[in-house]
Amino acid sequence: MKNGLLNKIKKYWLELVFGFLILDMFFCAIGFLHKEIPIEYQGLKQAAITWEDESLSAYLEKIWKIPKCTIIMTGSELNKELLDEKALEILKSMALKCDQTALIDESKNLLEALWINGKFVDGGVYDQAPYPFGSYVNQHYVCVEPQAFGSGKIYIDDSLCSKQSSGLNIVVMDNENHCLLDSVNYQYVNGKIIISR
Amino acid sequence: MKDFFKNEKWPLLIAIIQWSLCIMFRLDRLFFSYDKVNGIQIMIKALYFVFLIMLWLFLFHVVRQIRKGNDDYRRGAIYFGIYFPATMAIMVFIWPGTWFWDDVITLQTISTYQLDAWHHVLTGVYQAILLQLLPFPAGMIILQNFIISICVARVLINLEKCFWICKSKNPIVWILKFLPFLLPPVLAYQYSGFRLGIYSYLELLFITEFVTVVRRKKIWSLKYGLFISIICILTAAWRTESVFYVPITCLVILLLDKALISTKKKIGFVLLILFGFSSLFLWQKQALKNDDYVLVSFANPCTELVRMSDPIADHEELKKIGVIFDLEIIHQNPSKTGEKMFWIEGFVKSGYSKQEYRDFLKAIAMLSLKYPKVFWVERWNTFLRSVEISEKTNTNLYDAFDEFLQNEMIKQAKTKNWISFTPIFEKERKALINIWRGKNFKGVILPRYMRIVWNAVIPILLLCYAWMKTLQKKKFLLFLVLSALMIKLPVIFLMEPEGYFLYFLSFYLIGYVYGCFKLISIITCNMNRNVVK
Repeated sequence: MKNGLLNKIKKYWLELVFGFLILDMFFCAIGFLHKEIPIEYQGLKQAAITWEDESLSAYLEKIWKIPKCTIIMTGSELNKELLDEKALEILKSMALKCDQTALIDESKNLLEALWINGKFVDGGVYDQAPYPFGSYVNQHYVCVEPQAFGSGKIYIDDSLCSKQSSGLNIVVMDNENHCLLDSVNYQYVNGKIIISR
Repeated sequence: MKDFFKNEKWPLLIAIIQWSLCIMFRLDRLFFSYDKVNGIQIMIKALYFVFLIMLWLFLFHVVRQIRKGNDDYRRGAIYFGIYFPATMAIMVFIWPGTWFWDDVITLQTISTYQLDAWHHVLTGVYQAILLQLLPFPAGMIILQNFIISICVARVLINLEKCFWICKSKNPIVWILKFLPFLLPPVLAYQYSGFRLGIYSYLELLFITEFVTVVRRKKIWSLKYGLFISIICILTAAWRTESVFYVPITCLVILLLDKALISTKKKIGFVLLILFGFSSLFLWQKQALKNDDYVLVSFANPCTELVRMSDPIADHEELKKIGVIFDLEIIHQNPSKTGEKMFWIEGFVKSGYSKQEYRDFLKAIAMLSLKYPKVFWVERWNTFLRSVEISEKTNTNLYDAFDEFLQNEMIKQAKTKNWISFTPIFEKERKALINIWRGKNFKGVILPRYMRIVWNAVIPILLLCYAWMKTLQKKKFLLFLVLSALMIKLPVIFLMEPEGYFLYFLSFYLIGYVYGCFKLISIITCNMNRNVVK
């Protein structure tokens, strides 16, 4: 009996192998088991700095003082609770043209901005998603894909550096040591400001 | 020769009269627009004349053979009689066909007697010849289905011989015979102007002819040798990845038994294949003018490698790639694949030299060796997208509706006032296209149905099995014949630009034809055993 089975397996091993593969393929197709493998790019190295959660204005003040860094921001669904007067004042002092009236207006609640080594390069407040912005910064390519709703995306060397949340996304890059200093998201949800890194 | 003209005077006469009438009444004006006669037009008219002669000779030959009682031709006529009316019934609902984008480009280009090299010069020539006879897009599809139905009849007769299948009235056997030719992905392209629609049938015919030659030890007449050589030339030249058909076919011809084909004929046919292929290859190469067609194959992996690379450490390689592809566009579009960016104006830089092109290829090779995981993962993901495992496969059914006129190519085509380029039954057409694509009538995706019906891996596995089986049974000549087909798999895997199903359409069709005939052979074998018992 055993020998008979073994002989049949020996005779039909090719049929068994391919039969198994076809059945496997069939069930995998039904069960949605085959998925694409995501590619993770190298991106920038993360600097060994621990950041504390603090108010947006305090955070903006802190990063504005960092010498030789690139600050990239993209924001959607912004409101006066998230961008309070103090935060706006700091942004204005950073040369971004914006005032609270612009942000109170519900149709103008998008923000995109880039600073390199303390200099304002590009950006502003918008009522519809501006075109994606991209530029070489210190041998790295910075790209911002603003979104009218949901999370705007910030890429450095094609690697997604920003958090995938709506609200204000800020990415800070060290221009001297070629590393990522911080990536943070400020979001106003249910009367609370949520900070995520 | 005298006898030939004497015996074939009627088909020749009909062909000459038909061709003359077409020329005199300028029938092509119903589709083509031109002010002056150009070289391509003269060539098309000449080829149309040859086509008409071949067609009428073939039709008269078939009628004579049926009258003589030739069983093969009788069965062939039955198969044709079943399949062609079925395709025409579908055609009424799918009218004017599943025209999508690239096929409309070819059509538009040929409408002024120009050849679109991107989709191969042969595609334009083929479409133009059919459009001489029925000068409207749906007419081309009708004639395409006529040719395909002849192929189906011939393939079925060949395979009955190869699998030693006896006559059977079992309905399951009959369903299995026609099933592969009625599968949605096959029909989707069969009713389109994509070259793959007709090409996959041509390839199937070529493979089955060769398998029949080897398995049934068929003797090669001069006519048959010419027939095989011409199919081989067309199959090898029409798609770049099929180039392997040339050396393998030549090798198989040289290895065939002398009793089947004389040495003189062997050398003659091999030379004919080499000459025919080289001529078409050079013509296509000259028509393409640059290497952009090859570059699109590198766009996806190259883009991923650029994204992965270190701008400082890989500076040299990036510089070489940057001579041909605009790196800034790659970085500016982090969510797009390389193939999508390829069509952005300025992505491919013009005026690169041969040396720069070689350096570009070397740089990609270097980065692939440095980041092998990225390269293989990208290729794997593209493969998964093509064989409909991730429901992201690009097919010609994506935008085949024209109700909202969002398809720019169809929009442009509508302005040409081609005859009958609007659907007859709009709702039914839409529903049929939805069902073919793995959706319900309303267009909602049925994921399981889609993943099984459009799954190209199952037929590929069936072909792999057939290939391995020839090796196990030590049938080396058959193994060699199938190798010509199977060798394309790794080539497509490495070179396919994006996840388009059409790259695997031939495998899908041939795989299921093999699978169905294997089943038929098992069923009929069991039936015969029962009869003996």
